[in-house]
Amino acid sequence: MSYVIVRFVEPREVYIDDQAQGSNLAASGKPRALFVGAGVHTFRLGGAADVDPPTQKLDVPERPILDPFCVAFHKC
Amino acid sequence: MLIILIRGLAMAALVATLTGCAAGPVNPRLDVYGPDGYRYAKVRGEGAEQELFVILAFSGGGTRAAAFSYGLLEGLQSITYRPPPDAERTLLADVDVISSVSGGSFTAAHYALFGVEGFKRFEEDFLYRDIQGELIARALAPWNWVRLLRSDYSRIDLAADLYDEVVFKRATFATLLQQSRGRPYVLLNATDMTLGARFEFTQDQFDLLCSDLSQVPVARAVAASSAFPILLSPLTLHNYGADHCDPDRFVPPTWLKSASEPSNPPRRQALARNLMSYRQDLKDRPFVHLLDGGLADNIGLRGPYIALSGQDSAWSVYSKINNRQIRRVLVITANAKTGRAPSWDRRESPPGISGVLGLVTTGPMGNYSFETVQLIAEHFGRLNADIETYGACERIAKAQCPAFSMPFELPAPVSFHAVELSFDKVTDNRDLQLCLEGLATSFALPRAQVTLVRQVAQRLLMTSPEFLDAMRAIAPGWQPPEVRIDPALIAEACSKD
Repeated sequence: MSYVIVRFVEPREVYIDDQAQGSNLAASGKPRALFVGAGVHTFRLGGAADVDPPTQKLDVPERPILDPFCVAFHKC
Repeated sequence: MLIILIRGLAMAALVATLTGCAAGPVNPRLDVYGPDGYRYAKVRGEGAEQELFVILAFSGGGTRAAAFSYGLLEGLQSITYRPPPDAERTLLADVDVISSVSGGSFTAAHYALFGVEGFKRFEEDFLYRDIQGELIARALAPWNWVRLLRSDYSRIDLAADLYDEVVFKRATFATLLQQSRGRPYVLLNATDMTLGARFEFTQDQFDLLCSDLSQVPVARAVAASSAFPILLSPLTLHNYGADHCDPDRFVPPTWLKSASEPSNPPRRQALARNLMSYRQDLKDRPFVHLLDGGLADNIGLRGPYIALSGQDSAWSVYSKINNRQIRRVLVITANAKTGRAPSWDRRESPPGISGVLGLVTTGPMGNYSFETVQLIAEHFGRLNADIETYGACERIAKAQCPAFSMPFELPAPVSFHAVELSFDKVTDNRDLQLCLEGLATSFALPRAQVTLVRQVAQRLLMTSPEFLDAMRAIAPGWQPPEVRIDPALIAEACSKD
C-alpha cells in the first residue's frame, strides 16, 4: 500500500484509473494524502483541460504515510 | 416384466428427448456492454455506506457454515443503535458487502434475496432440511438417470435445480438486483478450475465472458460455489468472447489495464493476468469450469481484500475513504472451520484412508484461510498504525512548536476493525469447542446442532474483543446482550449417540 499526494495549484478532482478519489486539496488548502494500492496507475485531474500533462501513468511504490509519493501536474 | 421394462425405457427415452430439447446454456450471451447488471454501484447506490462500511465473509463448511453465518446475521440484527443524525437502525442494515463460499453462500444469497423477512423461511427451506438426502433421492430417481446420461446435464445441474426450487424460488440475478434496496452486495465465489483462482458471480466478472448474469439463476451460482469436488461435478459456463462478441466493443476497466503492466507487484499482476485470460485466450477458453469456491479461498476474504487494499475493484474501499464516504471499516468473518481429530496422536497406528483424505482435501484450505485472515488483520494493523503515526507526529511536533501544522492532510480519520468468529475461540468450554470442531461437513445436520451453531455464532460475536472494540467506536455506550447457551442444547447436540 502507499500514500500519494497530487500537486496542482488549485483544487481538482483526482482520478486514479478513472475512479474519482476526491479533491487533491483539503479545505485548508493543504494537499491531501490519498490511500493508493502500490503499482502502476493512471492519474488525471477533473475540470478544465488546462492540465499538463493530461494524464500520467506512474508506478507508485510502497511509501510510508509520513513520506507520500508525489504526483505533480502543472497548469498550462 | 419385459413389457414394463420396455415401457420404462421408452418413457425414459421420451423424457430424455423432451428434457434434451429444454436444455439451454447456463449463462446467456450479453447483447450489449453497459453499466447495468449485478454490480456494486447498482446494488448499493450513491451514499449507501453512511460512514460505516461493513463487510461480512462467510466460509465454507456445508450446513455448519450456513448456520454459523446465519447466527452472525441474527446477532447483527439484534444490535440496534442510532448513528447521528439518523434514526435507530440495526447493525445488519449497515452491512454493505457479503462475500461467501460454499455453504456460506446459501445464507448470503438467501439474505440478499429475501432479507430479514426471509429468515424463518431460510430455516425451514435449508438449515433444518435434509438437503443432502433430497439430493441423493433425486440422483437415485430413475427419471434423473436418463437426464444424468446427457452430456449437458450432470450432478451439479441436479443440485442447482433442487436449490432453485426449494431454497431460492427460481430467483435470478435480475431478481437479486430488483430486491437489492437496503440489502448488501453479495459476492458468491466459486473456483475457476483452470486458473485455480476465485471466480465471482458479478456482472463485472461476466463482462469478461461476454455473458449476461441477470438471467442466471442464483441457485446456479450457489451450486457452483458449493460444488465440492468429486461429490458434485463442475458447473460449466460459456465464454462467448470466443465466438459471439466483438472483442473491440469490450473496454476493460482502467485499473485492469494498469494492473496488467509487468512492473506491478506480483499479486496484482497475477490478478490481472487471470482476469484477462477470459479475453485473451479466447480460442483456448470457450468454456469455463467452476468448482467449490473453497478451493481458491475457503474464507471468502480474498475478494474483499482486493477492494480493501487498493483501487483494483468496482467497490474500492480506498476510493471510498479518499472520497470521505466512510470513516470506519468493519470486516466480520464467520469461519466455520473444524479441527483436526486429536485422537490420531493417541495411537501408534496412523490415521486411516478417510482421515488422510479428509486432511488432503481440507488441510491446505484451512491453512490458506488462516493466512488470509492474518493478511486482513495485518493490513488493518498497518493502516491503523499509519494513521496513529500521522497523529502522533503532529502531536509531538506541536508540543515542541505550537505553530506547527502537518504539510498535508489525510482524507478523514479512519479506523479499521477485523473480527473473526471461529469455533477455536470458544475458549471457556473445551468440550463444546471440541464438539463444534468435530461437526460434520454435510448438507444435513441434526436440528440441535444447527441451533447450537447459530447460538454459538451470536455468543462469539457479543464477546469478541475486536467486535466490542469496534462497537465502542461505532456506537459509544452500546452494551452487548448476554447470549446464554442452554446446557441441555449442548448436551443434545454434542451427544455421541
